[in-house]
Amino acid sequence: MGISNILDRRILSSSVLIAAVLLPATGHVAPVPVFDIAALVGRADVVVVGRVSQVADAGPGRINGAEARTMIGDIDVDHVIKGAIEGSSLRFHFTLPDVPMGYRGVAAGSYRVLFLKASDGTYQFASPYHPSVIAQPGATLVAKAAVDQVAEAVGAVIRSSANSPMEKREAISALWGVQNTAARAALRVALSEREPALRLHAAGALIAANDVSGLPMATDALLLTGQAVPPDVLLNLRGAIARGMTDPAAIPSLARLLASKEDATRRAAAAALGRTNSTSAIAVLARALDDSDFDVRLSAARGLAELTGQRERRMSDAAFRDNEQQFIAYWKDWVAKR
Amino acid sequence: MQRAIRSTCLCLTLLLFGVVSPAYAQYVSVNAVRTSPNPFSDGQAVELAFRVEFDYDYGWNYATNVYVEIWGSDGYYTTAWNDVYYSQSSVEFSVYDGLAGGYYGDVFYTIQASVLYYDPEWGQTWWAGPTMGSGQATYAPRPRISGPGTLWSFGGQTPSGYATSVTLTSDAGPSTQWSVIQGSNKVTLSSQSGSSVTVNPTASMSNGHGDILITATANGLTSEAFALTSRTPHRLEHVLTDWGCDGTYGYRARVLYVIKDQLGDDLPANVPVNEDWTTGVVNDYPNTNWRQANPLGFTTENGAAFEDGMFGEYPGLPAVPQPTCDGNSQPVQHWGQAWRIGSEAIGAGTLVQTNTLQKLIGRAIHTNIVSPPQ
Repeated sequence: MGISNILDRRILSSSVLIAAVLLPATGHVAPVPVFDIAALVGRADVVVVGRVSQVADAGPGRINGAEARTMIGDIDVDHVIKGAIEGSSLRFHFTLPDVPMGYRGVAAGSYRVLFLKASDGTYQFASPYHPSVIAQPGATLVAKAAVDQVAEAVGAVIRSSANSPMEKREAISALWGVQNTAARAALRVALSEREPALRLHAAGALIAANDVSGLPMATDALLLTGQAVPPDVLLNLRGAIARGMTDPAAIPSLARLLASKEDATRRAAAAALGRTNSTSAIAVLARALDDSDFDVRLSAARGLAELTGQRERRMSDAAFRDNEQQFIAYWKDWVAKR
Repeated sequence: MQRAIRSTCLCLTLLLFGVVSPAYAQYVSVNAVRTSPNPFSDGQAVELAFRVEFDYDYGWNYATNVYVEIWGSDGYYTTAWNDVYYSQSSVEFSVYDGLAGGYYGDVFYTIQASVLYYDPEWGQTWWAGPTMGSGQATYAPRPRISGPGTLWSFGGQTPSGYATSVTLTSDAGPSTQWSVIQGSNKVTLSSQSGSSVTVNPTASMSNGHGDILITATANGLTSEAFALTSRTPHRLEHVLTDWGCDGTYGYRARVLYVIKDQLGDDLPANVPVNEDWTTGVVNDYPNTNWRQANPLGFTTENGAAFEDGMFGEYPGLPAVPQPTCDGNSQPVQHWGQAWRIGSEAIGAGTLVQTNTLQKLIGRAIHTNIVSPPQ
């Protein structure tokens, strides 16, 4: 029995989601690779934008010896970002394990960018963990680079007033930390969203991409007291600052954050200051050597080692704990004499 | 070229002063050429000491100056000019070849000496010589150590892409003796002697970059210290907590982490990660039937970064409560979670974090994060 026959019998209407054809196993939890648009584009042979018209269960399969379901889907392609296809639709295959492994499918009816890899004459997901990303129908994709076009397709979701906050949130998440012009431009638009949480999510995404345009809003949110900013929003802002912000233009804002009453906020600011590669941050970090929090002082000492080209003075937590006064005295003396 | 020019200059000088006195025979000799230390080793300066002796058959006590030029095969060149005192028939010279920048190989020295003397009969000075001498300094290299500078520990695991033991090699061969001169509590050596040695980490890791120093000694010469850093996964740095809709389980939440070592650096390559459950399920929502999956392991694809993907529950179970993807924060259930690095096998590797995996109706989060673990 050929696959086309299977599909004839099993293919479902476009309104039915994968959930309706799977018999999923237990509650799903799994460590997986991070979502990375550039890596997905690089790995894919074909990147297309369009509406997933149908998804069908084509029977049992296996993944690394584990039982799974083989799925077949079709996408009506509006735009080819990478590679070449014949016709205006594309069939793709994927497998979902019965035992959860972090693999994901796509839902029929959704409008997506699909990252596909050619294999044995068929197309499969380039990554079983991150097969697709949300896109906006009718988006104008004019960028030359494929990565930029994906960012345009996703960014258009943010720009469209027709989309729900959840859809915009998914788009912002997809562009989190993506350092290209189209992504940043769309995220800056989201800084004017009506929902505060959405605005701050966009601010975090920009900061994670080392874009200071989201920093004033994030700084205000992190320094606010007595106002109900959701803890997970603040957590993400701190993560974005600590991990993504390296632009020296951020130093004044980071210095403000060092005055926060929250240890976690000051830790994020100290970590970022040490990554600015700017001598302007030295005096600010030196003041953080007197912080009441151990991790802030540790970040300050490590950051000073980075900023002053003394990487050999980066120390372990344990060494800093055992010889903290010695380390701090060294850096204070060094800063005073410079 | 420099040597040729210098020689030419000397010849011109000799022509100017006259080659030898026509009336007297004389001689100049270069004797007792010594180099020290000999053999010399990497970066050591060589002292070249010698004596110029001279005599002539009439009025030998009228010599006034001795002039020498020294060339080394390493490119060294110098000149020296000494006065001669009354009754002196020899002059000691000592010059230093700094072997700047390090020099590897024997050095051959050529010494050319000339003596200027006064001839009372003619009432003028004459040159005696030049006479050539030679010396040699023998290079004996200090052992040199080669090998990786970073050593990893993953609680006994050996993930690919990370050197969990390193082999250091001495170019001095099998007679090499190995010593850990700093950080001896951080590594063990497979042997005390031999052309190579395998270094393994102990439970005690580096406190700073290059704080483990190892030397190789052979033929009485000791190498420069070789610096090693032992590293281990230490903690997870939180980057992002996020959620969205999922067609199968209602929502898919993710917590993104970066793995840091004990010196605060990101792990440099893909690495196996595994999660484990440290408690059973604690239901927060009355009569919930959400299920706990088995813990899993995987290998990262983006270096030090990975996500914990957490899903809701299959609505058609039928799930109680029904999952949403609106961020609803009402608790459903939670359990303890531990993260280890270095293996996909559950419970193997270096523990870097414990937390509570909290499933909510509309998303999932990590709470009570302790990283590094106490």
